[in-house]
Amino acid sequence: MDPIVSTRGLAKDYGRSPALRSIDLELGPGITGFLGPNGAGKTTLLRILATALEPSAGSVRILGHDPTDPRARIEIRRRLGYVPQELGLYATFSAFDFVDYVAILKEHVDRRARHDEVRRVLDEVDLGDVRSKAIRKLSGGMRRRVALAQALLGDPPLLVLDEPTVGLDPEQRVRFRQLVSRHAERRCVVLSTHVTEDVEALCDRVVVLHDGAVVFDATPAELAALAAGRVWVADLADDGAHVSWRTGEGRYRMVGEPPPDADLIAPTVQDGYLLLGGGIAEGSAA
Amino acid sequence: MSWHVDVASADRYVARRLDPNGSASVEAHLVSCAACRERVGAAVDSDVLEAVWRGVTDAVDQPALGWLEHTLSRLGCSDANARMVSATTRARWSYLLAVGVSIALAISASQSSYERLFAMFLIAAPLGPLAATAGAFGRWSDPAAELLSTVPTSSLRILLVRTAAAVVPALALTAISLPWIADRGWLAVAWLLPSLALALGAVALSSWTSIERAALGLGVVWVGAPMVLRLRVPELLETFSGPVQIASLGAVAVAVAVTVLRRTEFEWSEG
Repeated sequence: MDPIVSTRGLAKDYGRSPALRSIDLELGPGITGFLGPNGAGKTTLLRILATALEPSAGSVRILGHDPTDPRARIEIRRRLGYVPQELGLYATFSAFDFVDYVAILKEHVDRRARHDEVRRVLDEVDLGDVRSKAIRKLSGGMRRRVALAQALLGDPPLLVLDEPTVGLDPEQRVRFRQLVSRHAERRCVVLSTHVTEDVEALCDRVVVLHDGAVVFDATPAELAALAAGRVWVADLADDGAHVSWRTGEGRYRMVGEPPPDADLIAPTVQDGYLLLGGGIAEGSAA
Repeated sequence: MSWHVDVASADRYVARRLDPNGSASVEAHLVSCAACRERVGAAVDSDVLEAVWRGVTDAVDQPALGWLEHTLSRLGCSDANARMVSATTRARWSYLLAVGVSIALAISASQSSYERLFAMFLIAAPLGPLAATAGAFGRWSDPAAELLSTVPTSSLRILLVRTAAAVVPALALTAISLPWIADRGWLAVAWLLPSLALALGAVALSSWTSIERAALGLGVVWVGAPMVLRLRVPELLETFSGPVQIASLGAVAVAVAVTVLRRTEFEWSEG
């Protein structure tokens, strides 16, 4: 089966500053999470996959098309759902009006069928009851769901979500995970996040970017496994740990090279990510 | 409750063959009688019921059109175009404001006897529409610009609809003001064609760079040219009456051609 997204030597420069360096990726159905510090290139990569940004070098194929070809780009856009980092909603529009507007621009021409589709996606994100409310009166979490609703129009096979869980409370985050995982059964969902718990709970695959390059690409379990035997707790902080913090139980949780008699605990995706970050900082990883 | 819907009336009501008075009577009864409601409701074709509910929800969800969108729709404008125009209120008002300021300056300058002031006005006036163009089509004017750069509808079409939405009222405003600026003869409107050329030039150049940068560059060239050429006031006024108009016309043609030829470049969002 052909990948839904594939890139070869993909690069993007802003003037003289490289934002992405030779990215090779193949993405199929399922949820892929992009992790990385600010400035790692996550948003740039997602904007290229959403056809908002032109690559500087390399090749990209999305849904079987080359986005640098104008006609092919339109074909991709017909089958793409995108939630940008900055939502950019019209505050005076109601949730229904806004999603309806995007539906118009997504070529849902027949008014009745379009309205049915708008109601469907708003129901899907649990906003059916507030669809007539002005967006300015909706909470931050509801606005995120309005943005997600417009991305679900037409049931697209590719969903690109840039920091979709920012500003969501824990309950909303769980609902978001349920919604996205339902959609990912047959589709390709690509999301960027800073929240490692989202990656752990939601993603089949995690790609860590650093300084515009891929430094890790495997399953969340494999990312967590990087820290196996290197996470421990103790009553006092160990100066040798890459990172340490005091937990609510009053003990210190540490990631790094443990002392011989350390009280080791099971690692999480966050531990693996932190260790990878520490390794990158020291030039010993990737 | 002294009566119930009889079987014959219920059948005719369900089949939509009951006269309006009879239907109204049945419906009034159904509101207050659960037994009849259940009996008649069970007999109603589910497809018909579905269609009725769709009609109701459609009417409820019908977007509350603003006056502008409503007017455009009544004038035969498509849903898409009317919504595109109404979604960018901020852009339209900024454009009208800039053109309004230019026209106010035109009126005061054309009634001034100072040639230098009038010459300065001719140089300054096109900068208003140029700045407004940058404002109207820059990213700040449309909060959803990033999202809309990824929809299949052509970005050039969105750009042109928004251009028309800004320029048509500006032209109307200019036409209304003509009696007050006609004292200087046709030289009083000699800034209009350069304004159009600069605005369209910025749109065309925005296929390479951001429209804000394009407008800034053109503005600097426009203001700097008379200084570099060391034109005195009489020469400047003479230039405006002929060469500037011809050059502006040429620039308009080039800008339109570039915009058409590079139309696919508008479909990338800015970096």
